[in-house]
Amino acid sequence: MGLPHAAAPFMLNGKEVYWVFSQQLINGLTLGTIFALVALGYSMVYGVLFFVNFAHADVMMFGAYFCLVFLSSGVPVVLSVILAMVCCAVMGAVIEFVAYRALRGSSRLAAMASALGVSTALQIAAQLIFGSQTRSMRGHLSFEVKQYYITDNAYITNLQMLTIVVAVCMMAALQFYLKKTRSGKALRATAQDREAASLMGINTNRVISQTFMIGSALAAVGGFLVAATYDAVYPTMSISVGNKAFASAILGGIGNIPGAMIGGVLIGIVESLGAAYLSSSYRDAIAFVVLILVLLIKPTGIMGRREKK
Amino acid sequence: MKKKVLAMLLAAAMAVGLVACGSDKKETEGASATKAGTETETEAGTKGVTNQTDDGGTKAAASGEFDGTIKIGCALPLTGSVALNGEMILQGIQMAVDEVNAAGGIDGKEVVIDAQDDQGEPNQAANVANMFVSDEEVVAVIGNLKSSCTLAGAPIYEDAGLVTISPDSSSPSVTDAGEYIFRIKDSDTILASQCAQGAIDDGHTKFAICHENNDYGLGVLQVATETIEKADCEVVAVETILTGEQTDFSTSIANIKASGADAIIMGVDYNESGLFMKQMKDAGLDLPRYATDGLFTQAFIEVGGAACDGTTVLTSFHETDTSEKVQGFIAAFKEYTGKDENPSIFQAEGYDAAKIVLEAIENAGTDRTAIRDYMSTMKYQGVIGDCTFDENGDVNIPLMRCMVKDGKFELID
Repeated sequence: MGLPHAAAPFMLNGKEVYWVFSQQLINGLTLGTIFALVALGYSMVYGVLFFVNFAHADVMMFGAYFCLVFLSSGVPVVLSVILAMVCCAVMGAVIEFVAYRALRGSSRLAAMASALGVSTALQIAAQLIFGSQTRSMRGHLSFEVKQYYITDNAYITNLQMLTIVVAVCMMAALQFYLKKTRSGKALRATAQDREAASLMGINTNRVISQTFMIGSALAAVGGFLVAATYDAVYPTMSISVGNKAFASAILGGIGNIPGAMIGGVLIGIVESLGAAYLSSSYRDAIAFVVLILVLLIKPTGIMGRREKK
Repeated sequence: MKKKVLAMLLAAAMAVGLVACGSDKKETEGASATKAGTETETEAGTKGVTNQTDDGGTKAAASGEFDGTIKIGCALPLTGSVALNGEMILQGIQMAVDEVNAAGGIDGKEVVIDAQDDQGEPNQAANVANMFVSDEEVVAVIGNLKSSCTLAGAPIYEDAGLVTISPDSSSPSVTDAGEYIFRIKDSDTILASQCAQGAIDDGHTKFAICHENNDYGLGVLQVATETIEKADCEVVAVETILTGEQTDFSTSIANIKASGADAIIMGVDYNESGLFMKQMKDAGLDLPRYATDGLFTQAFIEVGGAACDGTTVLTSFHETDTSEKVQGFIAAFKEYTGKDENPSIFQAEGYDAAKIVLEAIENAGTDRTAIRDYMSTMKYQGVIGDCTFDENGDVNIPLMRCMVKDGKFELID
């Protein structure tokens, strides 16, 4: 079977196509900012508690459903997203309290196992509550997708621009919170050394709750953006985004906030370009091979700090 | 002291959180009520069907109309992801059986259905097959729905010499599954080549092929490529879709756009196809799309919405088909259910599969081998078309093309 396949950059099926590269770059950037936004949640929790909260992507999925519920009952878009953020924040705090707090003293593996359980429980809960069919988000948005052409053929849509702007704003707000506010400083202090922070009078339990709430609220925004971009909300939507977001967090250096952003964007772009110029059947493999290569050279990730203990 | 106050505060926060959560859930329940409502309805509907078997059985036995029973096994998914389709097939089978029983049964005997759930899982399909072959009363089996299940059961039925007829398995592997394995569904080989041929006949010359990374998708890729190249046309892009793991198709769409393709052939599941259509629309790429019968389902349109318009699919059954056979079946079905709802292709397939088995039993008796021998030579004109089996137990049912227009499948030729 003489199947055609893609070749070197700027060459597709033996033809020179220059605009495709910039198009794939834009696609990868959009994809990457979404990964980054979700990756922040993984990274923040890891930074403070040293375990991976596998349920995080499922909170993102619930965020998308919360948005859908508010939108379909007539709440304006911005308010819907804010309400969904509040709901997810509460959800994050409850998950932390119910599933992780009791295990704080025991091994990290116990908390991770608990996280896997919460993840499955949330997916099944979503299936039971909302049904397993794919639902449309844009039907409630009255949003028309338009393409803005940068070159003759490469375009960026208004939705892609919105996604990038919103994600970047959320990340900037998080950076501001961590660097400039009192509770942000408390969070960083707890991440550095929980015991010492608690000796300095920081209520670490409250800080940990806050970490979960902030990460979950960001996940709600991520859920909204994913749902709007693909116009699809379904119980297993966490799988495709969650795995890549988790990989992004590790690539950037888990526990490191700017690292999560860099990791997300990098994974998004590598995946898009890899699928375009190598093979679309290996898109996941390409992204993860890059992850492995980076970890071989720098085991703690691009911006990672040396792990304690 | 401080700790106590804090603990109380936390508890209060938790309580507030719980209340908030509770109210969310209530709202969502309200929002999904419509959907849930329809689901329960269908469930109830099927339960009705299964109960009818029992009721019919007891009634007949009580009145002493029948002199014994003839048992037909049905191996279908009645739970799991494709349960709805399995239930519709069972409803079609039940309708055909009820018709025969109403006319006095076969040789004065009542035909009964033993419906077993294969859950759409190959290992469960094998369990059901073992059960049926060891039950000497079972003279023939209708099933399974999924190709993987049909293939899992095939060696067991083949060894025992028990005939099975699949209403909906399209994998090319079913062709060689055995002498006792029949089906009334065109092989994917036929479906994919007709799909590609239709696109070529429409005047397209440069094709992009999107395929799933599994047996089905790779089969479509191979057959469609052969058909296209035989017609001196060109495959300019091949894009792999990772079903169940991928939601972003922007890379593939940009590649297709760059390739200069003038039509797309889709060998992808309905959910991913629906999402793909939406993202194509977002990217401003408007190309005609062609698919096999895999996208001939309302679920595809539910996912893809208005972006599905302009997709051409294949089918062997359509409610607006004016042929006497089809319209007669639709009228009979409405009378049977007492509802003004058209049957889908699944009820039609179930009905035809059952009719074939019943006709074979009427003519060849209840011997398992005799039924097989009769079926291999019989000619049957069904609701879904000419179901004459070739030496492999395969059919070549003429396919109709329909295109999605305003969210509905409309016959186009």
